[in-house]
Amino acid sequence: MRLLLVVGLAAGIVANPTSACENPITSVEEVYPTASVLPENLLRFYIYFSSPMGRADILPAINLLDAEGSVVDGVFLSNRFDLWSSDRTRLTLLLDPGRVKTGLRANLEMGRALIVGETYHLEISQAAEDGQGCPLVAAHRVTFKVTDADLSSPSPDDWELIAPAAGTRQPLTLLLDNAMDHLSLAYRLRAVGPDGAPVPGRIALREAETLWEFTPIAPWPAVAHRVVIDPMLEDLAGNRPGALFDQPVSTPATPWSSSLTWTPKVP
Amino acid sequence: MTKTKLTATLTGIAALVSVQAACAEAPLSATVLEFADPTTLFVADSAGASIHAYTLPEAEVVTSSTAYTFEGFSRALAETLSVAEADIAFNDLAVNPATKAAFVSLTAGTAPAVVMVTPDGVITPLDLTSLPVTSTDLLTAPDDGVTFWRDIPAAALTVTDLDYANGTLFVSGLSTGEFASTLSQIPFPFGGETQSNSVEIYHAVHNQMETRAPIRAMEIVDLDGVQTVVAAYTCTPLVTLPTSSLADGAHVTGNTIAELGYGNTPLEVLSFSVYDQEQNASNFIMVVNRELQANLIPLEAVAEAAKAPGLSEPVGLGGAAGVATIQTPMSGVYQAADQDPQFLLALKRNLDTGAMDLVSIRKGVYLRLSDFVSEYDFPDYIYAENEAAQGMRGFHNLLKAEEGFPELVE
Repeated sequence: MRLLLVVGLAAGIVANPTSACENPITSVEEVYPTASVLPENLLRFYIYFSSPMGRADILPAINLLDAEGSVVDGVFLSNRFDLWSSDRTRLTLLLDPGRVKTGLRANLEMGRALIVGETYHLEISQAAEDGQGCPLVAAHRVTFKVTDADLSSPSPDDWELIAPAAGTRQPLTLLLDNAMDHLSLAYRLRAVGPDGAPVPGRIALREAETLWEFTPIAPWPAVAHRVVIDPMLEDLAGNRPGALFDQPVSTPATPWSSSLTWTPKVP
Repeated sequence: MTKTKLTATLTGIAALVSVQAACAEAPLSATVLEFADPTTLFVADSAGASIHAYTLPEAEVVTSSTAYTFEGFSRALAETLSVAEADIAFNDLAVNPATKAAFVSLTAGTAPAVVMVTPDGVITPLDLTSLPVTSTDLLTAPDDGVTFWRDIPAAALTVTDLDYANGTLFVSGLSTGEFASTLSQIPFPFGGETQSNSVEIYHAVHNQMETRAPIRAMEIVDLDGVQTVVAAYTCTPLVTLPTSSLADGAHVTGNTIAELGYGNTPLEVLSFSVYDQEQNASNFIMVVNRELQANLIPLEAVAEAAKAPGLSEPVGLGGAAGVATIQTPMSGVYQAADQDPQFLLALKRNLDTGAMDLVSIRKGVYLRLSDFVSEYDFPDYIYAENEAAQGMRGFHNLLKAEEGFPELVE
């Protein structure tokens, strides 16, 4: 077999050109969640970079610091492979579920990583390498305070729906009962027309992922619409409608509304 | 009772299958490896959110058993690939079921690579741009006319393990979006309908908490005629799931049969047979761990535990719980595979040299004699004339010879 396998690999391998990088161009664009107060049982951060990042393990370049600036160890789940979007601009950073979930040994022995009332900094070091082997333009730091664990499921019945006027392209607005995972708000909520198909348009988020706003491409017809909620929708702690991330098995299923019906206002 | 619940409402991560004819493009990454048969090698490409099935040339079946003794493998590999040794990140190891050649996936600098290594120490990089290939995508890219306030890449699946059984490729993965642990079944040849399950398990804790944990490593085994996924989870429960329960997609009952300890990442779940002198097979599961010793469990014990109620009591601090495991001295093993009836093959970090070695480890003893200095190694040591000591001498001589030290045979 050896003779039949063509050797042609060397061309694909480039030496790491870090030292040759004079003008770093990549920066951290956004970190989700964007709220400055986060629950003790927070499940993940997402970090968006302005350019595709390199293939080296990025975890050494990311630290959680306490108020005094000391590194808090063992916070993030170290996976064999980092969780990148396929274009390598978004990193999903999971807090170690062993410490988030109650009763597991990591949780019992080390406690939750985040302590209520404390202030923390998530810091992405300038040394994080982009796809060109360059460091970041600058280190990036977000500061947040920790509040009590979020132990309630998203409850669509408690959302406030602000209906737009018929015949306009005014946004449909949902005031959510809690901050939701930003990916869930992008992919798990849809305005649906009378034909059952998603209405084409654009989603925007405001108020630290507690407000969802949808602007259609075409004016709203004066007929009944729905907002359809995918059961995979999650809040910042991974709680879904009708099911907490971490709940006793004896908990009875909580009924919840998987769609909200509304009709554009007729002026 | 500890249960595993599978939710088939797979709005989560659907693996969309697209079959491509031979593509000339190299994968973006080469992570998990799995052989379907001697000429079909699956290569997971997490960066490219796809799985590629490469067709390898037909090769001669090797029936003899030869130990790998490739100390300093990473150094030789760096030379072959013209990269610095420190720039090599190893990903996985698989053994060709017919040729017994080792296949190693890695990232060299920024480039993915798969190399073939034979016991004589010859390293042959595969040209992934010229081998015939079919591929399947792991992206969820719903195109429903809705756009976002910023560029929001769709969630993809980062493959944590692959296992192939009877025409189905089982894929465990972690979403790069929501925290859904996904177990997909992809028919092979690609093109059939993929079925994905969002996996939820109950952990063995005081209040039986329902959780959604990611599968880190898995193996499909036959437990008394029941095709079963044996999966090692983060923080580290070992769980059995009958595959038949996956097929209907409804809620199923599985078992957390052991908790192997926290502060540990399971790297590999292996199943293999060990043969005695009369060629009677004993079957085992082995969980290779990053931090803890490798856990060896007789397959019969796994089968028995899978039928019994799982863990329901809180696991005490410090100890392990559930099915009894045999600790083996396989530390420093990064990846391992079932080489042949006599050996496991391991990518093993050499604590003395720092290099990654590619070495065979004899089943049954699970150690390499040459890793140790013992009283037997002193020049004036004389094996006693009794049967036990002479048996030990014979065994030592066998290990010395196959580990590359025939001159020490005495």
